[in-house]
Amino acid sequence: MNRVVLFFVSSIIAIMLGWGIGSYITYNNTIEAVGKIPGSPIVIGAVYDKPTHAVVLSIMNPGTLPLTVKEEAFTFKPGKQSSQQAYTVEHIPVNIPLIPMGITTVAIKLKKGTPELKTGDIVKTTLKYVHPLSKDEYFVKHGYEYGVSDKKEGK
Amino acid sequence: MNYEKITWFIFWLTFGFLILMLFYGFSLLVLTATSVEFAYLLGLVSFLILGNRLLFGYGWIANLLDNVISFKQITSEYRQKLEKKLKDKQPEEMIRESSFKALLILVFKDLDYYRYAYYGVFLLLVLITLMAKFNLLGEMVIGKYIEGVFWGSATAVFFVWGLEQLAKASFVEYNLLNLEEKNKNGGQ
Repeated sequence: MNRVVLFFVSSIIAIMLGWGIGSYITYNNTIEAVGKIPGSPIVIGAVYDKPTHAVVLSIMNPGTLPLTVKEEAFTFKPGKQSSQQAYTVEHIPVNIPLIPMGITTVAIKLKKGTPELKTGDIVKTTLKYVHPLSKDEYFVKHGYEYGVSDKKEGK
Repeated sequence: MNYEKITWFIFWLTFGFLILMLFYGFSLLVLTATSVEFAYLLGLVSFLILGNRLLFGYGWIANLLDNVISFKQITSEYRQKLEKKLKDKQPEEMIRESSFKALLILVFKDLDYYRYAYYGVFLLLVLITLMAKFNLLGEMVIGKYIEGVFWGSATAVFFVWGLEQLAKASFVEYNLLNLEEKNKNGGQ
């Protein structure tokens, strides 16, 4: 290997080395920056599960920080076909951690013995959540109309 | 007026300013570095210190041979430099009787021990980095910092490797020139 060839060979190695170092530093800095962005949860689907008599919500956390649902409020608005005026909720899960960049399913169980939901019944859920960067509380409201919302999602 | 002295004075002033700016820039780099960049700098600095002797040794040989090749003659000045370098390492008589080429080979041989140790340490670091990357050491939080140290050391090793190859390529070129040594026995 003479000195001219060595010059070209070492130039190529230097370019590859610089490429590696640059991508290593950029990748890790980007990961660090993206990791600090909090996302707000989105309810991407709500389904009434007949056998367990529960409304199942699928909540997506698009951010990279884990969020915690502190409280859930449940309001019922009867439709035309419904004879039921109000529902008692048997079990509302609280302190649910929402996994980062994933979907968490939460089931709100209605009291046993009460009749099934009828078409047109509206279930409104309010989620109160916090994220680890501040002590503020944030709310997400989701309205679910039985029979109508299901069909829309079916499209 | 001694123009040469003035020129040298200006040169050293500029050179000193350059070094000062270098330190200023480097300290700024360290102060503003993220943790990942700091790992890189750590690897770079530690391997530069570790390979100090190799860097300057091979650089010195490459520089000497560059002069010999471009002037196409071995003057007593270059021979004396080599002799001075080998003074405490080899018997005096042997140095006096050896040819220029033999002295060069002795200098190369002296650096070989450091070269093996240096590349050995680098190889060890490469293995640890690969193991950390493929999670063979278990889930490690410091994996990405080990990789940063690896990249820094790779930069230093690249310089050492380049200078070593340059010195050896220069040696081959010098060999092909087949120069006659004028003053073999060290004197004038």
